[in-house]
Amino acid sequence: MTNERGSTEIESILAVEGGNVATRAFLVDRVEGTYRFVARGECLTTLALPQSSFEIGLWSALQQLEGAAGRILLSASGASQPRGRSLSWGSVIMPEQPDGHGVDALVASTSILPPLRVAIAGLIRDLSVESARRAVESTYTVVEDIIALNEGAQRWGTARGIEAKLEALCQNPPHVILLVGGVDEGAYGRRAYTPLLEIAEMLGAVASVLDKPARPVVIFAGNQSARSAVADLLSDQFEFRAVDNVRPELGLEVLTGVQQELERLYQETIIKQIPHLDALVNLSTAPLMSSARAFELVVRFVARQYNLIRGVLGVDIGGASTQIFVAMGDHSCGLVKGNLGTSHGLESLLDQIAIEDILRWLPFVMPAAEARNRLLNKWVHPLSIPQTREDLLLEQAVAREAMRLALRELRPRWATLAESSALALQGDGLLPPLDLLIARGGVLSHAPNPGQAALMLLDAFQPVGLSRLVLDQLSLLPAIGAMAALQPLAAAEVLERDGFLDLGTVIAPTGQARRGEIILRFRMEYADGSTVQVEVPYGSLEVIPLPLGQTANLELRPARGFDIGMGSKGRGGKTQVQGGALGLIIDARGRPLAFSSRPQVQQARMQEWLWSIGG
Amino acid sequence: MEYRLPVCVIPFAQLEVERLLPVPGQVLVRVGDKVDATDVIARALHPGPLCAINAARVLGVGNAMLPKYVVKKEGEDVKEKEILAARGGVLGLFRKKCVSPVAGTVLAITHGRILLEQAPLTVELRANVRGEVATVIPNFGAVIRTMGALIRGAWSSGAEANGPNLGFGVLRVVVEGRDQPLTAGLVDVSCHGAIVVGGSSVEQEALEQAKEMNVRAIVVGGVDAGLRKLCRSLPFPVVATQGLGDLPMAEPMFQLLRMHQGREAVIIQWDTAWGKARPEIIIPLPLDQAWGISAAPSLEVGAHVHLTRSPYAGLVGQVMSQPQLLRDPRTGLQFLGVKVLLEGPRTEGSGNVIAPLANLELIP
Repeated sequence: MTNERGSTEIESILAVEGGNVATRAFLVDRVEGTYRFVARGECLTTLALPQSSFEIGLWSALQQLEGAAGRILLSASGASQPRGRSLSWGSVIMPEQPDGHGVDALVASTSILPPLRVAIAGLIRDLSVESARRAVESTYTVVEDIIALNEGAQRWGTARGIEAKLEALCQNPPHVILLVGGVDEGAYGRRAYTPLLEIAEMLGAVASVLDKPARPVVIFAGNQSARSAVADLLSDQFEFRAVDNVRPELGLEVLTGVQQELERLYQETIIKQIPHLDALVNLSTAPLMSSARAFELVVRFVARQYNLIRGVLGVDIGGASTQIFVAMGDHSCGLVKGNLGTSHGLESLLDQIAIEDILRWLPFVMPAAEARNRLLNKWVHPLSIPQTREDLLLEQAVAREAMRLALRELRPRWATLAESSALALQGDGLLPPLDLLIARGGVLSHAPNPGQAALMLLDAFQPVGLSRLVLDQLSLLPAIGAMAALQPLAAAEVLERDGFLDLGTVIAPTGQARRGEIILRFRMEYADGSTVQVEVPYGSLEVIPLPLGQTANLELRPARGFDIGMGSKGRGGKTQVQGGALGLIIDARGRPLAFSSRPQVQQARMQEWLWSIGG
Repeated sequence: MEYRLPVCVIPFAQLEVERLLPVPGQVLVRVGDKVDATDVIARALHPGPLCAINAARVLGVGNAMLPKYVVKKEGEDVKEKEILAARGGVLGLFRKKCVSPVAGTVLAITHGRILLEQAPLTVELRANVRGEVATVIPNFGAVIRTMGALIRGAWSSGAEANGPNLGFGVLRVVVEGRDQPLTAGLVDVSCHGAIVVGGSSVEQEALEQAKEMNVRAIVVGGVDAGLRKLCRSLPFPVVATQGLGDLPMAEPMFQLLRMHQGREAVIIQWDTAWGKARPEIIIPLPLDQAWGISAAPSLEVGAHVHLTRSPYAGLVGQVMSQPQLLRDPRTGLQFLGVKVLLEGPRTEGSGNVIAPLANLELIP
């Protein structure tokens, strides 16, 4: 496309993200030859009353962006603009004009729910069905039901397990039925053929009961030799889509086909369900992308681009969903929990977490019933902001447990990943040493200070050895992921320069000692030559200032029996560390974190940790 | 663009109430028709529960062979234990039979299965508000325009969604003050058929008593989170105007409900994009009364607001500043908010507080 300045390059990009709590607009432009983030606008998402229209919040965010950037991007309705993209009140000026008005392109991402409701039908729960479940949790979905032929009804008996599931599918049809089963070749593959057709016939019975608009989309991701027979049975009755087998071989899992199809379906479905979301789609130069997919692209890119062989863990804890993704070189795995979040997703989250697990993160007493009431009031008023310290810390405690839950659910997939990347989870449930932890989400980026954000991450993930913590403070990462599809250079440059707030470097020794015992000694030399020598007692959490943009040389000497990720227990060494908003964080509280059985002691420790980290 | 806050109380205005069948049916009214609350405006046959039987497996035949052995055709009625399909046998012995576990109608014979639909239910949709039909929604219902008061609550048990005529009754305020809990002793036979209004909370025994007394709904300031499951199992909606916990009802809401005690009211549920119910209590009022139509409120200095989060949940105040970036010293959080002068008696402080816009609702 040639813009009004006669250039075919995309120089300026407007990136929009529609979230469940906030709608944001970002301006990216070329500054002295490099793409940079310029400004942003943000507004509460206006899907609820009184506005009940996504477009209102979008327009407000765009107007704020204009004001922040000091640049005209929008034209009022009625004004003639060449090839503008329209909203009800006007247009986004595209392409960029010689006078600097407008932008060359617009990209959009969204995490707006409700999630896709998916039923999985397969042969064997521990094989094909489990693979299907992992594939489904790559975007905003809820698994409503699982039909595994190897469970429930005996083949020639009268048990009603399968029939009961069929009745449920008829009464409350999901958006999608994912049909899986059988490897592609060999004896196992041949044996799966008949049972697959049997399931397909059962699904055909569902179609005969439902009106066409109510029928789910059927995605077939099973034995490829059964594909045409299954298609013959179902393609006249359902919208039928066939993708690669999730289990082409017994020991091989291929999830990308299902993941891509679900991503497409998510976009198609929410555009129909969310009023006026099509306004965003109409504006966009590239296809709408889910924020989950965009975030995944960023984490993968970072791992590969910077050759982070020990791995990158990314977490996005949102109001309605939580995503966790780990990438190690070319290997990656992740999941999206579409009904687990810190505001809209709170009720579902509280069904999965014990309230006591939340209360142990509080530095004060709160009865369980009161905590439940306060949290559910946040659920009832999902856009509201805490106005007491108790409510704030309670919401942060929930965030910790949501991230811990997501990590627990990721572990089985991580184990599979580790087999192929020789990077295993540790036996006591701890993470292996990671290079980088990328975090985003309102509860983190809107924390009153970076210390509270860092502490939430340290408590939730308990990183070991040496790792860096970075925060998506501007909520820019989904926009960067969406930009990557259109202008990869812009995405890469903005990510490198503007994408993160570096919280600092964490050193977390693993080992056991008595509280107060010195477990680590180190010498830190700043760039100006000044030095500081520190002795770290077990049980402590300390922050050593090292500002953003600065580096320092560390000489570390752990006590015998303590591992700081330099090869083995007791092994020290030298390394260079980068500064951050906090600096150097020494987390010597032990791994895994031990909680005192005495509430007063635990509360006092929690308060001490908050003070130590500047919270 | 002017920032619009939700409105939680409207003393008197033109309101539109959408009344919809849960399944397609027949709409019995036209645009312009005047309706009373008890008028049936639409009717439908709600499909009965489904029952799927793997008849081919019972008979020991392949799916394609089943039609050969079926004795009941699609569309035929069957009684419980009546034979649906049968095969083989000698002199009536050793015959394999597939019998119906329920009474119903054969819906489909397909893929080796017989699908039965149990007896459908006739659903009649009542107007539930007195007014005029403004719009007909083909096959589903109508939008009824009425004049009256509206209170928008925070949480509902959702029962009004389980039956199209639930949540309609006569208002009965059984407490003296907005901060008085609804106890079992306050729910007596006079609450039969009523929308019972309490104060700050409702006890478990009161919910059980309300079920015995056949109330039409309960409205209180707060519902304890531990009672949600019980509330959702009740055959009537339970509405919390403030949220979950022991929360006194906001004064304007309580006064409005008390003023209109004895009048008919209806509770309707708004589904949000995230599936949650946001309840509204609508009280139709006669046109010839002295209430002036409320002006649509907007956020400006002097506007009255209702605060939704602790420590100010349920309190009302007056906006004293334009929206600006503020920082709360208790939490350290920064937000777009206003200064508010709280109304009513306070136990501490001057009453001058700051609140995020996200925590406010407007009151005309």
